[in-house]
Amino acid sequence: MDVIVRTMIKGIFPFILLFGVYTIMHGHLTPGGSFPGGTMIVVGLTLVALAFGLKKAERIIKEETAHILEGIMAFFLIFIVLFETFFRSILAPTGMIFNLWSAQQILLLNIFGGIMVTMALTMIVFLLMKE
Amino acid sequence: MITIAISVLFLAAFLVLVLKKDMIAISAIVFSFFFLIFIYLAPETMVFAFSGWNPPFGIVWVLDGLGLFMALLITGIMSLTAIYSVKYIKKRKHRYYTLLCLLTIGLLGISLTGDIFNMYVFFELMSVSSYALVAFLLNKESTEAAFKYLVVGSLSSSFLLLGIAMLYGLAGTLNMADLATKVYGGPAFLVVLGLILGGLSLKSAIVPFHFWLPDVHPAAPSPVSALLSSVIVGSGVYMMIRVIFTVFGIVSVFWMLILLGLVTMILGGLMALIQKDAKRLIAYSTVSQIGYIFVAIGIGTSLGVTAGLFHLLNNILLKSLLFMSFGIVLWHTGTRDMNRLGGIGKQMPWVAFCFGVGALGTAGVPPLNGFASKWLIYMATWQVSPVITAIAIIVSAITMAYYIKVFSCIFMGHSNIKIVNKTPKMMLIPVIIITIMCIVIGIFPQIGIMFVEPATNALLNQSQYINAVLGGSVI
Amino acid sequence: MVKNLVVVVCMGLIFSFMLSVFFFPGFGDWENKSVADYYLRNAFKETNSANVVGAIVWDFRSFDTLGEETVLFTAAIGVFSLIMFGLGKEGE
Repeated sequence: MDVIVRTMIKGIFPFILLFGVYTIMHGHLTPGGSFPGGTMIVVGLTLVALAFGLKKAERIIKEETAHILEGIMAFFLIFIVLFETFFRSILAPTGMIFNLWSAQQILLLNIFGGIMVTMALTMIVFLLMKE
Repeated sequence: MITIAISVLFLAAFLVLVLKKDMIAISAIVFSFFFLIFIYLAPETMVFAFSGWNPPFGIVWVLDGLGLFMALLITGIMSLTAIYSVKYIKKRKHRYYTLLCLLTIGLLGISLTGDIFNMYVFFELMSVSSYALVAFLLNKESTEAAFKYLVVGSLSSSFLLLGIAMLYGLAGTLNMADLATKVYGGPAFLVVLGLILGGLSLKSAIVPFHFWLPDVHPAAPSPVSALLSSVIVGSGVYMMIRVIFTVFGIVSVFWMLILLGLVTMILGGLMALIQKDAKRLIAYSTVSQIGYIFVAIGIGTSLGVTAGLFHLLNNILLKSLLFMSFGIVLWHTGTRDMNRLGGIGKQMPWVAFCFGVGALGTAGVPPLNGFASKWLIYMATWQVSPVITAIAIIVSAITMAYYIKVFSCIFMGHSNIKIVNKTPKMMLIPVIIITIMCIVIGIFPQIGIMFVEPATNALLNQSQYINAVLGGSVI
Repeated sequence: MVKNLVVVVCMGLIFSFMLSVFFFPGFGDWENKSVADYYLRNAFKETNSANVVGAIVWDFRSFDTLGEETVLFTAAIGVFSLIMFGLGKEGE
């Protein structure tokens, strides 16, 4: 693509990533959570793939990494949701309101869910772009 | 406790993809089947609350008679299909087994849940994994059929979601037992019932909405066709009767269901007489049998509901038997056209016998299980109106006619095709197991009725359900 | 002729569905009427989270969210196993 588009995306991509990670991490304080945050990260990656070509974007997230990370995060997610009685010591809500470490269950689930959404959507977008 | 079975299935679905071993998926499905047998033997209704929140405020899973009936059938047929597809599916097996595990989770979730939005979430999971499974063979016909199925399925999901959202707006809660106390009838709830049943009729193939079924079921690989015709359509029927009997609490003669069921029976039977493609004929036969089930359940008496659920059990067993044994024929010959197949019976006597048992069972011939359930349906409909019984008997005769046509076209006559390979044992054993079950239930129908009794009791006693969830002890 | 009849019947159905709006409780009227009463009063006490929607999605009804994540995963697997049609190769 153009030089202008490439320069702009080079400049703006870290901020998109930052905003996506911010939305995921503050899911228990502001509206958002894992689904919008994960989508924002994938939007940033799609912009890089469109501007610089698929090869360069694939160097950021490789396909094997996506599969394995998705599996591991799903593993943790299932264990926390289905077996919450065993995790009460970590998950008991402590801390003041509006701290980052206040609602632990929601924070942990948002992080795992966010990584899972990112990997799933990245897989779909890269596969559709290979066509 | 039930979370053990669900988490094993979830983990198997993810691990099969990463570790690339199929045995994980097959053993997980078989494990959940035996686990559910173990839970079935417990005498009382278990209610399981997720994440520690009590019933109206959290999600509950109610393991009552009807739910466990469906769940046992589902996991049993899924484990036999998983063993059957070890040799049938040759390429990309790991993704096939992942999708099969996810389909099992979706179907189990629908049968066991006591919360209507949770039922919608697992309905979506079942639908999406079946869209991917139908298109698995990647030829032009399969992709076109999967796309058609996707459009119709999305329409049905949209209607269902709209109905559930309206129901939450009107009643204020999403728990099925709590809804049963808050639904009071009137125009708004009639609209909700119309939307939910309209969405679900698209999935269970009643007559104005059956148009997708004869295109989708033949185009899928044979084990997936067996699952689609037996268990997924059965889940559509389960969801409808759960919404009608437990949430809305209507127990009387439903003339609309009986009328639609009659039209479905006749249309399915007549359309099946003129087909040239064997799997499409069996798919129309599925439409016809679902018509029988709706006529029997629409009657509403205890005998009618028992007959309908028993016919659902028999339909699940017989349709999976028919599709799997025809799948063996397809695996050897590679063609579904009945004009080109012929005379294979001498070369594959076991498969011919099993297909014959399936065909005679669906037509309702005495020593098999189809006769027992159809006799109960005739007895139940005789109490309402003899005209319905007469139509049911005529459609039975039509069923017999087209099954004779299929059987003689495929298995008797001149032999055009030479069978070269031997049938693998892994494909033959599940077919023989289901055949033995059909014959045993046919000779001793008391076994079938004993299995269906707790389901009928759970369905017709709405107050028992409400007390178990809202009043009783919650695990 | 048949097409006009179908259009009239559909419009009739749509209007009769829209009339049911008059039977809904008022917008934002949750006192003593629904489960939302418990969620709004006790979300901060029980989960220590400032975002009630987040608390409902990830704590009170986390099982539904797990189901939705699984649907997303299934969609990714479906795309992954079917994309070979377009690419023209069939491998593992």
